[in-house]
Amino acid sequence: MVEPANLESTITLQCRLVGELRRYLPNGERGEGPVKLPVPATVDDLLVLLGVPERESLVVGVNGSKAPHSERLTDGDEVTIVAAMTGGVG
Amino acid sequence: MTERYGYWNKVLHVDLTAGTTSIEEPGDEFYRMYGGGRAMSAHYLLKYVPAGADALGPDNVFVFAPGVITGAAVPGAGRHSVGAKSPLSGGIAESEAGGFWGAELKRAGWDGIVVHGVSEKPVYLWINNDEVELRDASHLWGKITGDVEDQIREELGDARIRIAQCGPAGENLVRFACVMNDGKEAAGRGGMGAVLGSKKLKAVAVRGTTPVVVADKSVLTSTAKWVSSTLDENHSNFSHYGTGVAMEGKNLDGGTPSRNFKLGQFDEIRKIDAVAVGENHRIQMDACFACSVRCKKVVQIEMSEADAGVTKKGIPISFDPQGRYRVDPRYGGPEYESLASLGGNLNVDDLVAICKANEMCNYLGLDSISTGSTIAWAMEAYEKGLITSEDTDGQPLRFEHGDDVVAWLTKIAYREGYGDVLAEGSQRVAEKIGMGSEDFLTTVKGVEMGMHDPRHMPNMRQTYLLAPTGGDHGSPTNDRNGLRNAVGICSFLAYDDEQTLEILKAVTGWDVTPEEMVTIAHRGHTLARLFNTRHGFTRADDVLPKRFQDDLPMHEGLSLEFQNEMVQEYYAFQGWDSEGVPTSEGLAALGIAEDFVSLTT
Repeated sequence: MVEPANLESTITLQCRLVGELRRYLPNGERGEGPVKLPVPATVDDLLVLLGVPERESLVVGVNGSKAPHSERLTDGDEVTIVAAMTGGVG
Repeated sequence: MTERYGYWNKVLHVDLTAGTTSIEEPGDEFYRMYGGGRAMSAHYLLKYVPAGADALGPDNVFVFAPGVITGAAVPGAGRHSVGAKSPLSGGIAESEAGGFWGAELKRAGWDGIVVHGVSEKPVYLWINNDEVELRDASHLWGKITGDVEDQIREELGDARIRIAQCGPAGENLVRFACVMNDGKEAAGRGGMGAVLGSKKLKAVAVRGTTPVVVADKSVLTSTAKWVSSTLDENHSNFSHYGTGVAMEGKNLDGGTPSRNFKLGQFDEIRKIDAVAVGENHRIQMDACFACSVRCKKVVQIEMSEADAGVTKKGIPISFDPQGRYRVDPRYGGPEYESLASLGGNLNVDDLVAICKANEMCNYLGLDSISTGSTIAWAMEAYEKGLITSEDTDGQPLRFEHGDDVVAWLTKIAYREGYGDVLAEGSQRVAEKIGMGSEDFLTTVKGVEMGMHDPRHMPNMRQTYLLAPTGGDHGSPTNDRNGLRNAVGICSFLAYDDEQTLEILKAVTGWDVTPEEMVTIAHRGHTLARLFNTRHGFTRADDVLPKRFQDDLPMHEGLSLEFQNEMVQEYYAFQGWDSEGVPTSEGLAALGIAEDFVSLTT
């Protein structure tokens, strides 16, 4: 599990990183796994903790809906992170 | 003799009516002006195809156009383009493909092929370096693409021959038939396979053994090292999954083509994206000429577990749990466009059926985008009762049913039953049956749109509105991709403009400036526009289909006022008049007034 240094007042998220992004969740099987974050926490805080580069080009879903990087996360949220690459147009 | 790098100053002309060939030496200025690709195609099409020519008649001309970079030893240099008047749109068609064929043509000593006339009987063109021969193809007529490759290589005795060809769909003049090369690469858009079929030119087989001479090899070597050593930073998803890995992101963003572009999301998207292909059915990734990115999926599916086993490299081979389909790896695997057009937009979550449909498009020579979108339109018409099971001889056309999709592909390619109607493309069928079915077309200039919804993707709005090739996502209206198309370099490579300039200089030895690169792109845009103007297109054709005025749940529809503003801005940017017609002053600024100014009036 990816954890911050200070475990006081944390939430646990169920994260899924799609495609090659899964390497930023090294212990998560098939890019899926729990991540602890100190509160208050936003989507962007999560991306910083995971160390995912080019955060502005990612699409993030929280509980199945697209979420802005400023969105506040709560315990148990399911977070999906996808790189915004499209086929055919480069 | 002038030293030449990147091109040979040799274009092959083939007169199928007379059964003769000739060589043109266009001169150094020609290459510096056009580069290749669409710009070169448009030059020849404007020169040889008269106004009003039947796209499937003897007056159409077919151009194979690599670029000056094609075939040089640098990643991304495996691209070539084909061009002709489109039997689908009636305007210019131009479509790009990867693989090895274009590089092989350059290695054979040719910068392009211009095919004129119509042959009386089926033939294929055999180019063995500088030896050129038209050979009988009666025995190949009717065969699927893989069998044609096998037979040509066997009869010519060389397994390294590269082949571009039309499949049975092209022979049967399906208006959205494609040109396949290297078994799994498609110049998909605009019905170019039908043009080859109409000319009875089954295939062009090429063997070339002379490397393309470049001005500065060291730059290309260091560029190639940069690509291969930075794969994780720049091409990681392409390299590991290929196109279609971001489908879930597009879905979260409400931009998935779903139910004939009606919904914007498809709940089962995770079952059909490139990750699902990779985890379930892919046996390897494959490459185009000189490219270390290796973004091409190869899929293999067997009919049963007993047939499956493992590949020679020990990779497990999947099987169809329903025992319906085998998918042959020689036809590659589905790119994003095929996953979306044969899957998501039809609300099909049956990945085995999607892979089968993709394989069939490749062996029948069907453009997977226009095929899928014509079926999507027909499914909506069927759902609304505008097409009935009586029309279709009982073969259903249902969203969510992958088996229906597979069943229709053969009917379309061989024009069987109602497949003969659908083979005309969705716009012609809608015009025929009426009853409001035009309202849910997804065509621009008669060409079905690629799988990128312009309501979701701002950069696609200009492309679809103004691409001279119609609803073609890959048809570059911007400078970056317009330039890459002309010189023959893949738009997937993460080169910035400076690197592209370096590559162009290193290959050609030209002291080319960024401004000159942009001008090459503009020439391509303007000549293609000029071709369309000559063939009856007007400003009224620069409009999106009605469906795209409707809102998606997460994105606003695109009003006619909005579209008109965008069109006017682009005309001004390209130096065309307010009706979108290139001007004599504009042609003069591009240095092409002498050849084409008479067409502006």
